[in-house]
Amino acid sequence: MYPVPKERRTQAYAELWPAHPRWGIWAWWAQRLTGVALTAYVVWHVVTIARAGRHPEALAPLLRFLLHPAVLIVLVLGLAYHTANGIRVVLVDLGVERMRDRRAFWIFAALAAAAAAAAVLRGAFHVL
Amino acid sequence: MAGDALATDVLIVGGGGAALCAALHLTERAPALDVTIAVKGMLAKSGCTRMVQGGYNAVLNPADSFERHFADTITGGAFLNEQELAWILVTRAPAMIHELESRYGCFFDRAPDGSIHQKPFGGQSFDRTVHRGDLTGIEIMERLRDAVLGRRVRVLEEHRAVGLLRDHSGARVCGSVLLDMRRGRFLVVEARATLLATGGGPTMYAVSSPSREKSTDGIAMAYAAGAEVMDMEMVQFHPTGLVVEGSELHGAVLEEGLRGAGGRLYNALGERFMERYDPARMERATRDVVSRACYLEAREGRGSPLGGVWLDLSHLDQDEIAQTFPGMVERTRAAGYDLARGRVEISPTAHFLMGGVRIDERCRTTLDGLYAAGEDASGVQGANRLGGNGVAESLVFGALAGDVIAEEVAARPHVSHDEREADQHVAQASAPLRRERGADAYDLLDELRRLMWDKVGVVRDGRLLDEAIAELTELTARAEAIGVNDCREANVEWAAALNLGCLLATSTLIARAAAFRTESRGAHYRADFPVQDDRQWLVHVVLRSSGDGPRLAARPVRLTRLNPADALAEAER
Amino acid sequence: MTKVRRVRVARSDGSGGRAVQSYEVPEGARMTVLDGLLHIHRYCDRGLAFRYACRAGMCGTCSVTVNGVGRLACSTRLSAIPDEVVVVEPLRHFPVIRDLVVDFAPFFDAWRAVHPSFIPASTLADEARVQPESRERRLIDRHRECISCGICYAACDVVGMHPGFLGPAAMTRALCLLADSRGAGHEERLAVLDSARGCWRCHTHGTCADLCPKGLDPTRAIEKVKRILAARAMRRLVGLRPG
Repeated sequence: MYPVPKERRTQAYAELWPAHPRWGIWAWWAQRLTGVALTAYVVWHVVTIARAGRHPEALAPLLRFLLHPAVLIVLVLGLAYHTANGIRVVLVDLGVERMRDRRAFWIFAALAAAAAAAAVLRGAFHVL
Repeated sequence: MAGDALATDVLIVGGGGAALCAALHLTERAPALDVTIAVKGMLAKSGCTRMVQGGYNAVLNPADSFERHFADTITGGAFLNEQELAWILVTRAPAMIHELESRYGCFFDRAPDGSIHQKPFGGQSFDRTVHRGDLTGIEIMERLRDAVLGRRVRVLEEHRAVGLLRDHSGARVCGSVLLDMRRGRFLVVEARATLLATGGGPTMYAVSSPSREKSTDGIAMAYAAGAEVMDMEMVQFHPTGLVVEGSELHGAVLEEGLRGAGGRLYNALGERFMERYDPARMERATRDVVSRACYLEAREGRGSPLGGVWLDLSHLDQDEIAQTFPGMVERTRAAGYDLARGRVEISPTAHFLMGGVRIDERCRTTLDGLYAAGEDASGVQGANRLGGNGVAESLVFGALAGDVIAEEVAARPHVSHDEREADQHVAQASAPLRRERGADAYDLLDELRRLMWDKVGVVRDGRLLDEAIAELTELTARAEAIGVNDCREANVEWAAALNLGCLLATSTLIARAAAFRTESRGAHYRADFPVQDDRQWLVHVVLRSSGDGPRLAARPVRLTRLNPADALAEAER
Repeated sequence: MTKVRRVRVARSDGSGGRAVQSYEVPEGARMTVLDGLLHIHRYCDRGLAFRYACRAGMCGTCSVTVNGVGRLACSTRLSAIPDEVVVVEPLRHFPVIRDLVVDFAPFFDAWRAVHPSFIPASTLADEARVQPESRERRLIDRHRECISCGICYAACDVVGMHPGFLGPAAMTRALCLLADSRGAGHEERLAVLDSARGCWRCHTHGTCADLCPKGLDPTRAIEKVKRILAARAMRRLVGLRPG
């Protein structure tokens, strides 16, 4: 047809965080950060367990980390959020219209928080 | 001093429906041509084709006929139309609809059986108005713009023309001096053919509807270069302009379809006053009749404090209104009204200029090398335009101009322009930047608008017109002292001053023509000559620039197809 | 006594110097942000540069950022802005020419990249008879009323992160063209939508849909484009299987 204009750089730097953030950018960064954090944790967890036979000394730091109450809460919250928002986004991608707006996001976030709270409380009962 | 220079084959001044159709036809017929569009605002966003709500009249239904559309147009135009031009309009309008849909991807509303839906509109004997919701213009302009993006056309956005260029003999137009408003630099464009398509736009009135950047530039420049202009006294006032106090939205049009659907007009006493002016058609009478009625009611003290009356649709089905007129509901809501449930304050608003540059059946003006199409041209609509015929005129004649120029430009050589004329245009346009603010462009614009509204408006009379002519001369003289802030880039005040210059020039032509025509016809109503006089006044008032002001002449209308006597007999049958 | 509103406007000249200036605007009941700018221009500072044309919400010329949100100046009433101070800045993601006047080139570059010109599928001799309630028409009707105002492009966080990202408006336009059975040229459009500039970069933030002054939903349109591309990929995959 006709030549497509090339990309042009109109900003000196990528704007990773907007001046007036709205729920969309919060949701996305939270998904990214929890994703990275969970992936890092899972890799560490799996590698440590896999090498447990040869390097049993690595297990203790892992468990210490994992069973620290603060870490547990953060991890569970992070997992719950990532899962809930992830499900929401998949539903959006599959064409479910209702999932696309701010209200749907907050409902899922609330569900995640509730699930996390329930898990933590249950775990707390176990531990205590 | 002139700045940059550009040589092109065809220069199109304007960026609305007429301009883009011309560009598309040109690039289709003669792809080797170098075509340049110079548009005052942003491409396809400025102008009034964009703002079209109602629709586009075309004979599509086999039960309809060209003869009927033609008769409606001529009757609506009070027989002042150049009949061959009107015939071109009605015969080419349907093909343009198909072109819009099949070539440019427009899609107009459909009837349940899948055929194009055509709605009723004022002054028409058949429902032939094609539309897309109540926002037809956006669909048309967005698709035309997208089509132009796919062609090899040079588009100069925010470039306004400040004067036409002629060759050394002064007889031939060979381009224009453009002002790049973004950078404040001038560009001298030499072209083998120049098309004026700036869209008229009578914004010299206190209440007006066109897009705010419009200021009859094309007509002013053509007149200044020596072209004949005609029918300038024919200014159409749309009856239902929004009254929005203290806001620029004031004057924006509420479409005719609202009256067509059953909307009622009330004055301050709660009367449905159309009873007194046109009991047979009431609110569905033609625009000139309804505008006059609203204006007189307000003038005689039965209107609102702001000079308006009220439009009421609350007796109609609210859901149907919301569904049929979503654009209007939104617009009135933005102004703080509730169209479906409450009354909306409205006023006549200056909407369209039937007059303009005189053209022949090939869009040629009386100046060699200069063409005109759309609202800038005159003769198609006569003394009053039917709703739906305006956008049809722009697209049909824009396309025609494109075809004609593609044919004729091959034989036209490049001529060099008169540098002194170019320098003059640059000097005159730049002058406000260098002067002290001896006069204020905005104050003068307000004065002009008030003057035109009061003395050259909906209802005119000889004494007031003569006063207006004198006052316009005085205003024009005072405008010589205008100074603006001296920033060159994106200078809004400078643009206003330049707009004022064009408006003053055309306002003088309107006032002179209105004073000359001592009868009432169509949109031109004289309280001192309230009757239409076909014996003496089936003539065009033609104006042409001379050494000391405009020279006026009366040129008989060529009644090539329909005679008023025949039409009367037909109506009585 | 008319209320007075404080309006702060971001000023800049082409060289990049930027400052925010404060003005007092007498606020009438029906005044819009555009009316405020016109008042400031006429009575406070004739040097203020801004754009407007139709002033009736149809042309998309007057888009600016009002209190952090992209809005049409002519359609935003001052009385509808809850904050005490109204801050007007140029549209985000567009290079600033002067004050509130921005360069729309990046927007229209993206627009042109999806080949927005309608290409007829065949020579359509007669008026097309199309059922108004057909699925195709309902899909297109949902996304068609774009006035190319640029507000969605300004709202999109991904545009800020990736130069060349097509943005919501261009991709919505592409969808309308892809869905139109009267048209052709789909392969080129799908190619650019499938590229690094295309729909996969959309993270479904939904800000474009929140802010569109015409109530359009570009997020939904982009989702549809993603599904079209996914289905296309699936079909290719299936087609490649031998036997």
